[in-house]
Amino acid sequence: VNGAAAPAPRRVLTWQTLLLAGVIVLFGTASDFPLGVLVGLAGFAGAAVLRYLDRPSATVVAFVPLVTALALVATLSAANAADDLLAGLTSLGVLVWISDEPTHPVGGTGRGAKLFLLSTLTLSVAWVASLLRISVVGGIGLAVGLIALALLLVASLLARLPPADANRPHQGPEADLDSTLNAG
Amino acid sequence: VSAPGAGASVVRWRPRAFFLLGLAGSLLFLAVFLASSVPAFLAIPFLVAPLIAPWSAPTTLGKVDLVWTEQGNGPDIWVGGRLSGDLGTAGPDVRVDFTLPPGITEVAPVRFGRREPVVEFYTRWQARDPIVVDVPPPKVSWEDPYGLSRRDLPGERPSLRIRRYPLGLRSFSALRLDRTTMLPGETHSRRVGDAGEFFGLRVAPLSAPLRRVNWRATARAGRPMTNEFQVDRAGDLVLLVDARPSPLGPAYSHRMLGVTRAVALGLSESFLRQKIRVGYASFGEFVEALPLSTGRVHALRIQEAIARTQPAPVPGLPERCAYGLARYFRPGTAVLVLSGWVGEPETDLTPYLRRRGYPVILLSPSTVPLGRGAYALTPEAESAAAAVERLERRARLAYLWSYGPVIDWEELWSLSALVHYLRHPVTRRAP
Repeated sequence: VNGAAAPAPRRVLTWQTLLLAGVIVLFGTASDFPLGVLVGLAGFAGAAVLRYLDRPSATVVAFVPLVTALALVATLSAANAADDLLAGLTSLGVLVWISDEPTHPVGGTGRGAKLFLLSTLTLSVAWVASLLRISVVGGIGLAVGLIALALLLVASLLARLPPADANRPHQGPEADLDSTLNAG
Repeated sequence: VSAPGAGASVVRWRPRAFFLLGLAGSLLFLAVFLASSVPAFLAIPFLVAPLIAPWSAPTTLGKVDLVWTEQGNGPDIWVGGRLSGDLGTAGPDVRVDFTLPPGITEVAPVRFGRREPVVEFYTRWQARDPIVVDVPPPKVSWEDPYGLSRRDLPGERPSLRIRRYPLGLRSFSALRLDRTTMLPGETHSRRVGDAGEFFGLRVAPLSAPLRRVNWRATARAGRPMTNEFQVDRAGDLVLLVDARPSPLGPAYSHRMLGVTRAVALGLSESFLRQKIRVGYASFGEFVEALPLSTGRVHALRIQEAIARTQPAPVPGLPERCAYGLARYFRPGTAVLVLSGWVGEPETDLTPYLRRRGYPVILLSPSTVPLGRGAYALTPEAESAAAAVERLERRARLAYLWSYGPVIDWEELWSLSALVHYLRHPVTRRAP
């Protein structure tokens, strides 16, 4: 038996879902794989169905068909800078989508911003490095420097964020428990 | 009852993190194998996110203490708790994982509320039978919003004792035990209370109820005077819990003992409230006993003794029980035996106790409700099986009536059978 904070309301069309669908369509269209869009959207549809089944175990593994389909599309795509970038953005879209799971507390995307920013930064460093065709040592140095900069930036940003509050009045037995706890 | 807090925080990756890492590794391998950079770029966020997830926790996250309590009646258990400490902004991502003991099930999921600077949670459980049990301290952890890792949070967290008695115990306040006590056990205490024999007069305190004011003495003394009384004790009672292992298996033994322990605790508290001297004994392989006494401290002693009572590995001989009891309690003291023994009838405790001079009342929890739903039977077959079991029990308990009153207790959430007996005691079975 376990518990986390109040789960998110089961809305199917969230901005995270739309964002993910959008980047999948872009990635599928840009790839050389003719059925890229179809495969990507099929994986996405499978994931969405699993997520909104009323079973927490299905929700947890919902992203598996999605990432499997994306891996297939990525494998069959030709290598170019646009495809590289779109593949990375699609991965980030998957992460954003995962952070909005109905079994998790509301607002996960905002609270997971630190992790998202670091992933984005790593991806952007890699992509820029691939564009510039810089040397391996120089690339590593640039990546380490940018990651350190991002860490400082994220830490300073999060330190200034006000804590999310969800005050909720309690009634019935919960109010009784409240009074008992307060008395203690 | 409390348990020491956990040590340093421990990071545990979730299966999702391993899946993403495996996927990223496979994509990188494909990228090298196919000489294509697209799978590698798809892999980068999947590779980075699980690795940095545990360290994306708020920096203020640290020791988190827990205070929790329970309320409710009968099988309903409402649990509420408060997490406080170094939570920072991590409140929504804090998880509480309970390990529920057998006999308690979750009815409603845990709900959280946040009131700065603490996080409160509520949940609802249900007890299958009357039960006295300690729920171990829950594991409190922080989980990142992506579900990739958990960090166990240290802190002081006590265990929670849940006590659920049959509802009929509320009716015991109106009962006197004198009818269950032999005449030699009748004694008077020297303690002073508001009932019993007249003890003396004293100046009335401000809180004295009007019915205790002695108006004649007040008129003579010129100031309010009240009567005080010796508390008359109704009698002595020993609660004997049968902790011998059942031939029906360990699961049945634990469940039956759970019921008898809960009832023993509820009965001891009810009788102690009436200033009755109560003793407690359990018999598994040997007798373990607490002598007769009264008071709140004794109630706590009994509570601890009941919590220590566990099914014995080997059943002791019933003669040993009777002899062992004689070391702690005078023959003639009323003994309420709580026993769901279903072994050989020759090893029932009642005859041996009676032969040693103890007046015995047997409160025998029925096996019928405990076996309900244990087998995949149709409702008709279930009721037929229950009817046969009742007949078998009746024949078995009829034999014990020659040694003392027997209360066949089938509705485990109601003690109306015992209450009825104590109000209208009969010493022999109706023909």
